[in-house]
Amino acid sequence: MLAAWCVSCAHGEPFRVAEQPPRGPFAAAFPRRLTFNQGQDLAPSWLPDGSAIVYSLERVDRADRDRCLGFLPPEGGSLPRIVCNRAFVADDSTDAYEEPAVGPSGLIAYQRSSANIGFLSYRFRALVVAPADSPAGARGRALVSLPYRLPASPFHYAISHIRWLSDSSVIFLGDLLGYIKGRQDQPVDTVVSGLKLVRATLSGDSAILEPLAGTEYATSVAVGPGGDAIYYTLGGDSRVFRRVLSTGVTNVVQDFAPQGTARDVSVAGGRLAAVVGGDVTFTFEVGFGDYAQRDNGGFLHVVDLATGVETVLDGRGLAFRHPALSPDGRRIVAEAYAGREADLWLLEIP
Amino acid sequence: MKRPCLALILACLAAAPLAAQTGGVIVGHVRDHEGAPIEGAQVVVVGGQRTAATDSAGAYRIRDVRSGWKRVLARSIGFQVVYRDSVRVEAGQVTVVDFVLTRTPLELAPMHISAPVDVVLDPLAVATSQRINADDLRHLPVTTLEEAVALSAGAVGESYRGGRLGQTAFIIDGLGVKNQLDASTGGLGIRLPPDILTEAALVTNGFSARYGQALSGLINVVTKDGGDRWAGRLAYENDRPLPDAWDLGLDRVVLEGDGPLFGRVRFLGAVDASARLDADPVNAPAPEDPLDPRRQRPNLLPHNSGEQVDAAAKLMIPLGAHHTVRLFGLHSAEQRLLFDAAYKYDQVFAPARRVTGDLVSGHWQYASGSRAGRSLISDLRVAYFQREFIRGTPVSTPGYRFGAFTGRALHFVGEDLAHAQDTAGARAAIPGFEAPFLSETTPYGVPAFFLGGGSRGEITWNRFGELRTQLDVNYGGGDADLYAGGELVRQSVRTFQRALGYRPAGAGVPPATAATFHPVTGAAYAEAQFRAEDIAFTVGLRYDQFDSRKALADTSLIRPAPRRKLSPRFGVSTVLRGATLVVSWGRFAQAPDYQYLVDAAFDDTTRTGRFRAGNPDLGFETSSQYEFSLRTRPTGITSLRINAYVKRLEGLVASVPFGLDPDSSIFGNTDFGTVKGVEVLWERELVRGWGARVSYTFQQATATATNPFQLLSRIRIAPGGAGDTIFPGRLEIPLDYDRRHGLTAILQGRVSDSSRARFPGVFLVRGLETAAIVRASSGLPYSRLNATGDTLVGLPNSYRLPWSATVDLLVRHPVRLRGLAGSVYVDARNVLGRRNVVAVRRDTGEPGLGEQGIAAAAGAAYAAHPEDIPYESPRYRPGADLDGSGAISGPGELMPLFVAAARDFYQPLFAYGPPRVVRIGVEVIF
Repeated sequence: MLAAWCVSCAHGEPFRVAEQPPRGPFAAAFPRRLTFNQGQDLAPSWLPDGSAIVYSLERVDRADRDRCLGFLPPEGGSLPRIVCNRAFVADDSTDAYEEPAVGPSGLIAYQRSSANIGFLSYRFRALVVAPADSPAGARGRALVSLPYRLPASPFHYAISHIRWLSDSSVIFLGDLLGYIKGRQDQPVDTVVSGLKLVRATLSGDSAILEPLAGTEYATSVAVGPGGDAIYYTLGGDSRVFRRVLSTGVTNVVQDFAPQGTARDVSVAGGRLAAVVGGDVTFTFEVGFGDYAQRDNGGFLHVVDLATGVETVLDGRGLAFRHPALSPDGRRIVAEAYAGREADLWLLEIP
Repeated sequence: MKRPCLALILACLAAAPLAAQTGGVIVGHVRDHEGAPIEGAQVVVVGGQRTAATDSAGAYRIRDVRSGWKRVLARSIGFQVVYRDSVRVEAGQVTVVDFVLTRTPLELAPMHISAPVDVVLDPLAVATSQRINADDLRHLPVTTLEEAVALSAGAVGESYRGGRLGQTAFIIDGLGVKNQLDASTGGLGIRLPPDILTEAALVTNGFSARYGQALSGLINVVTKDGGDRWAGRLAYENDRPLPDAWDLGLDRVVLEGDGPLFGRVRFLGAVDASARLDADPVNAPAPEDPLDPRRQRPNLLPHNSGEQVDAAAKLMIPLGAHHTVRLFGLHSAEQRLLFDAAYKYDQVFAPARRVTGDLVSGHWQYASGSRAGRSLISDLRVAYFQREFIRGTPVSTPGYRFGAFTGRALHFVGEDLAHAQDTAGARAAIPGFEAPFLSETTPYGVPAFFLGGGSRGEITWNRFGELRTQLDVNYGGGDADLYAGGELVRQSVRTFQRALGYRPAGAGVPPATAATFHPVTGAAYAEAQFRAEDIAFTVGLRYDQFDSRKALADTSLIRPAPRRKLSPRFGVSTVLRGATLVVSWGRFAQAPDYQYLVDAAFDDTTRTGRFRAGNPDLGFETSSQYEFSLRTRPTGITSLRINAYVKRLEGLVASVPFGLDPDSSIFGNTDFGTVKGVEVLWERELVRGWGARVSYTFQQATATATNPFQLLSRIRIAPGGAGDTIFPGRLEIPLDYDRRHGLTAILQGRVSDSSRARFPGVFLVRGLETAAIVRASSGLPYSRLNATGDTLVGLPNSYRLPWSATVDLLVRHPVRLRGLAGSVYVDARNVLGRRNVVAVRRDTGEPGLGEQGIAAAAGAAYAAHPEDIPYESPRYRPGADLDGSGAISGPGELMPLFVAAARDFYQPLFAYGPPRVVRIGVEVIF
């Protein structure tokens, strides 16, 4: 009986490590600051179902200052997931996962590069496509190695504005990359400027690249519903163009002429968003050897594509870049600059 | 008056008294009522095959009687048969039993006589052995054989008389068993369920030449044979009903049964299974920081559970009147999770280990009848012993099914590579390992001290096996006994080790190491014991040889020559005015642990990246010991023993500088040392309700290094600038187990079951048994280092831990239920809850790092990671963001977190001994 009584008792348990509960947004009001990282938080985009925001974040807590992929809740809060290159061989290099975009089939496309710490030239750079649940896993494929050169075109040393056209094709902006040093005591300035839009049809372990004629010095691209129409901007131009890929018909959907240069276009939920005006220049730079659009951010403009009504969002004096409309078109996440570092902010469209 | 002189003269010679044997000897005389010797009387040990016939002087001698309580009868034609019950035979001891027979003109019923036998003053009992029998094991607050042996004078844990770990040989029923691979750092791998024991003894003086492979002593264990009727014991003990602080998650089940199978064949089987949610509980103070989860349950560490199962079975098969075959099998398995402070918050990556051991033996014994005092006993034993050890990162942690029992074996990352000893395959990063990073799941968030994301990437595996064939012959003739025999042991060593397995080998990552070799050891001995009146002396000589059969280097075909050693032993004992003096001297040799022959170091918790090369050409470690032992009996029920000994250790394995690289060394037989001590043991038999045994040891153990991994070098610039010359240390320093003072008192009390006392509640105390063990001992030595940890402060082991003391208690009450006998008991260890300091930091000399050290550690961690912690980071902790800026930034906000993390990480958990451990047991004896 005593034994039965003893057995019926339960042991106490060792102490448990309390899990850190996920935190909600830092503040409720809009515009809402989503990130507070000392490093750069760049190129946000939404997952197709709007369940998360994926972006590239700079790890200032690591000596190599890797840039990783962060997956933020749509309202903001603590990061439930960060994807970095944790391979031991990566400890002596800066590994950057940039320009992420998740497609409708659950694949993520991003630019992945690696350079020795402190070195400008990279050892590896490619467009990588992988399952979104394992962006850095073994199933990732490097489909486009950089730099590449298209016929009758200069080298593209980097890519940006990666957008999914369909389950098997993406469009991106091929960029010229330069390192410009002014006076001896000034740091090297990395300048990236768009050269041309490129459509990549993914096939197995490679991709077929197709430059889009008439998109020289493009500065951004967005994909419309259905994936057959793209919206893009050009360097120093206030217009937003729309092209139907199947027919090649191109027209201007919005001209922000009074406000200045338009760039970083985003289209979703029947709305178009772009960064307009602000601190932006488009000039031929001798040190760069070509035209370059230098952009320190501007104002967020939203256009209702059905009515044509244009709205300028209240950015509280912040300069924005790379806005991304949520799939329902009601919110925008964008890089915001208060100094040199970019953080992500979430804005609600009235 | 001449006897003392003779003894002292003989003391200058060499000797090894008989000890550490499976059985003892019964001697005596059979006389009639008038004192006349009866020739040809037969003396029989009832239940066995041991008989002897008396000579013309009426003397008889029965050798190799298995230890335990015996019933002995003497009979002769024309005389009444006399039985003597309760004759206690102890291994290696001589028990004197005299008979007086009464003439019987008519056939009469046998007469029963019980009489105590005094072995304290018996000059033929020459061994210095401290025994504990099966009864003690059940009635004392001890659970395992090791705990029982540790009650012996001169024992410090599993170190005996100041020796290093592993300098002991384990003898099970006369069969030697030793983990020759890493006895100094690992255990034997097998554990005998205490319920199958008849007795266990620690023999620390000049033990018989029959036994080798030990420098510090023998643990001699005799197991039961199955009885003439089925009997057994079922026990269950746990701490479930106890309050939280006392509930350490213990469950233990013991089942033992023995009896006749058919004919004279006897069977014995036992299973002892136990599990604890915290297999290594500590008595460290609770942390003060409310963020530290240990504050809520300071007594129970997570990821520190363990379970073990020991199962044994034995068959005794008598073949005719003179032959007996015994078959014995033992399987032990132990696995446990290992708490690692660095993985406190990411326990899934913390290490674990599994140790299994198996022993299968066959024993054939021939015992001739005794004719006129002459007998021949021969024993042939063949046994296979295997021990396997693996430590690493568990693939998964099995869930608990009952208490801490999982019922499933742990598997480890990289285990397949280890078993295959695939060093080539292990050059790449081992699949399943991930590189660790600074944990993000701590309550403090800051990147410091704690690890997560991946384990340490270690996998260590080794397997040691040996096939032992052992032949012993004992010829007894008149006043002399002759012993001779030998053994041949074929061994197998396989090892594998890989560190930082999440990285490929190279670029600072050492490649995997593996070794396979098959040593052969052999031994032969001869020993004679003579008796003349009250003087007995023993002369023995043992020859040992071992051949590692391991090439000097991986690429070499050259093997070192076999090593050989002769070890003489000598002992003499005599009676001096009511006391018995025993003097012994012996030389002892043991082959070195085979782990020192290979490059890999097993279970070296001090692994710091230093490389120690194995040395296949190591020789024997040796010792010689002198001992004086005086035994007396102040009263009829008390005894006093005083032992004084000097032991000289030579050729112990030590690390020797290897070239000029101070971080490299090779193992060599360079260490030597001295152990001196006095033991005083006073015992009162359990009479009139109480008994006691008190032992005190004063001891001094010094050597030139405390363990084989300690590197003590002196770099001296050779005169004339010829270059550096490295000399190993030649200064003797206290050994790690140099416990100067040790006091152990065992007190037992029993209320008679048939007490006639009449008072209310008398049934509560009737049959009550209590036992207490009180221990007090001075602290062990340790070395101090400077703050950087690279320079000794003072001489090695020149500092001492504080004294420690414990009181253990067992209270047992008999219970009888429906014809079944049994008991309930409470076994409490360290009942006073004393917080004994068992280790200190070498830099502070205290258990903890101290506030200054914590501040320095926190400051260094902050300097390495001064960056802000942003709101979205998993490291962000809202309470630390004092200004609500969305980032924890600056020393004002970050430093308190670093300090708290440092205080948590450096809390001295394992600097303290066990807490109060209480268990409640229920047993049924059938």
